[in-house]
Amino acid sequence: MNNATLQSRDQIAASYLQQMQALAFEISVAMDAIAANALPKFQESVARQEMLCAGLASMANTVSNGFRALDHPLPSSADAEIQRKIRAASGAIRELNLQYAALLKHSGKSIALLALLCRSHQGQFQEARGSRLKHQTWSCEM
Amino acid sequence: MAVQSLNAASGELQVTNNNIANANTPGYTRQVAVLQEAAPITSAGNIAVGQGVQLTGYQSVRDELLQAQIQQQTQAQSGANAQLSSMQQIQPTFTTSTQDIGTEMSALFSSISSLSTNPTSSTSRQAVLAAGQSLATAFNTASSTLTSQQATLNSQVTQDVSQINQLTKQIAALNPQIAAVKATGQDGGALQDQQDQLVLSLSKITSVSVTQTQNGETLTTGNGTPLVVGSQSLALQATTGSDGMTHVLDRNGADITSSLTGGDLGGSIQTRDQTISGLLKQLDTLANQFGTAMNAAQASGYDQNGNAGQNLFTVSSTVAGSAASIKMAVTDPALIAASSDGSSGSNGNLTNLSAVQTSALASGQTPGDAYASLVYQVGSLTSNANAESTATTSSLLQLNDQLSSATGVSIDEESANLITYQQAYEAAARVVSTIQSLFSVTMAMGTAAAE
Repeated sequence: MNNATLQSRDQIAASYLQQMQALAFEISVAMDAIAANALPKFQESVARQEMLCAGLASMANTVSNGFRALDHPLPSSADAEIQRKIRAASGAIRELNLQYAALLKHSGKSIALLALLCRSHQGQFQEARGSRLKHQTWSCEM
Repeated sequence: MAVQSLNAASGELQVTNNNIANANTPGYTRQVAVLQEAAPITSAGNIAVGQGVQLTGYQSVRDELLQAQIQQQTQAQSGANAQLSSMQQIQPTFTTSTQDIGTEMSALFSSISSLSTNPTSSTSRQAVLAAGQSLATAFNTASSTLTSQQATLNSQVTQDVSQINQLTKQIAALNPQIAAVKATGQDGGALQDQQDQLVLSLSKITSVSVTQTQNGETLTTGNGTPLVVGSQSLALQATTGSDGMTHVLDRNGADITSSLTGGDLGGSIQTRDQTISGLLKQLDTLANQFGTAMNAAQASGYDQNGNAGQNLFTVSSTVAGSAASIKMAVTDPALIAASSDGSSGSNGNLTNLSAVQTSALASGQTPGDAYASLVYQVGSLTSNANAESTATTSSLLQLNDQLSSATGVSIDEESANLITYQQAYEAAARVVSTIQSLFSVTMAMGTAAAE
């Protein structure tokens, strides 16, 4: 493998790392948007996540094949450093992705229930019985 | 961070749930969760990760200006309704009917005209007496209608004062509770909603001024009489005055009746002390001047026995109460002074009696015109009260719509938001799957390189 190939491979690996960092940031932005009930912000973040994922998917094989092509001698210290960073970033994204999935699952279920409640809401308010109780109850089938 | 975000998201959903559940609750103010963003940190691999958001509390969405406008319009509407209700009770008495003053007055002059064709006819003389009695009764009835309406309004004033005292007591009790909640940094939305509703109920009764202080809301009447200061409510008193009317006193015993405006109480007092009093005064004046004019015409002639004419009507010496007390003074048909010269066949003085119909009274108007003016005033006052009531109702409806769009809950809006959320979540779930597959590839490249 010549120097030019190594340089190109390093550049792709660096770019890959950068996009992973960007994806991790977007995931945290999306989680914040969910918590803040900021729908437009959440939608924009998901769109950016999709773009980043597409870019990462196309680069992944190139970078992976590049690393596989390395045999003897052992990769340079620069290669080792970038691999370490990619592995660390990948681990961080994995953890973040798990949290993201849990948040989507939890919040998504609640939203599905509320959406169902909203859809079933029409003239179903009933005044509580008794002279002192004047609050209204709302019931629907799920 | 995930736990904070989950808590925050849960808080948001709880607020949404609460908003939807209270969509039809009167006075409920839409709530929003108050979130605070935490500073991001940099984790392994130089990845800047946000620390999420923290749920710091809930806040009710309020529009103080709209609330104040609604209170003002509510006062105006209740005042107009109080006047309209009273005028609607009074109006039938003053409309042209078979027994109203105008009709009975015409009937009296018609009977005098009939008598002139046969001044000795006892039947015709009896008809004049009967018509005179019917006219007196019409005056009595009109007066009674007005005074009984005043009595009804007296009861209303007492009832309103009692309600004011109950409401101010509840409002004062909420002040320290709201202050305590706010002291902990929370919004106190539910308690504030309760207090707003109570103030609105108070506005229906009388004009109130609301001032926000550190100790909660301070309430005063329109003229500045304090009603609520902090946790203390200052009760008003209702008492019967020397004029027989119910008066309102402040906690120091000062009479504040005339300064109370707006709301049911203000409207009731205005109708009782100004509108009805004015009508009653005009009615009394008409009864007194008409009776006096008829008596004067009667005195210028002679009865069937050849004696000078006696008073036809008994009229009070003072104008006040004349309509209520007017009655026929003579019961004997022979005592009608038809004759101008003392002979029984003469009808000369009937011309004088008939002339009262077309002559100006001391007020400058003929009896018919004076009564028509009274009828016009009653009709005009009723129309005005009706127009005012309709206008304030429309205005109030508009203000409530505005308030509802600002602070109320829209199920459609909440529902549309939730559906959009669901779509965004589906897209996000696909990203999660993609990242999982990317993770496998990335970890494999590291392993291959390390071998």
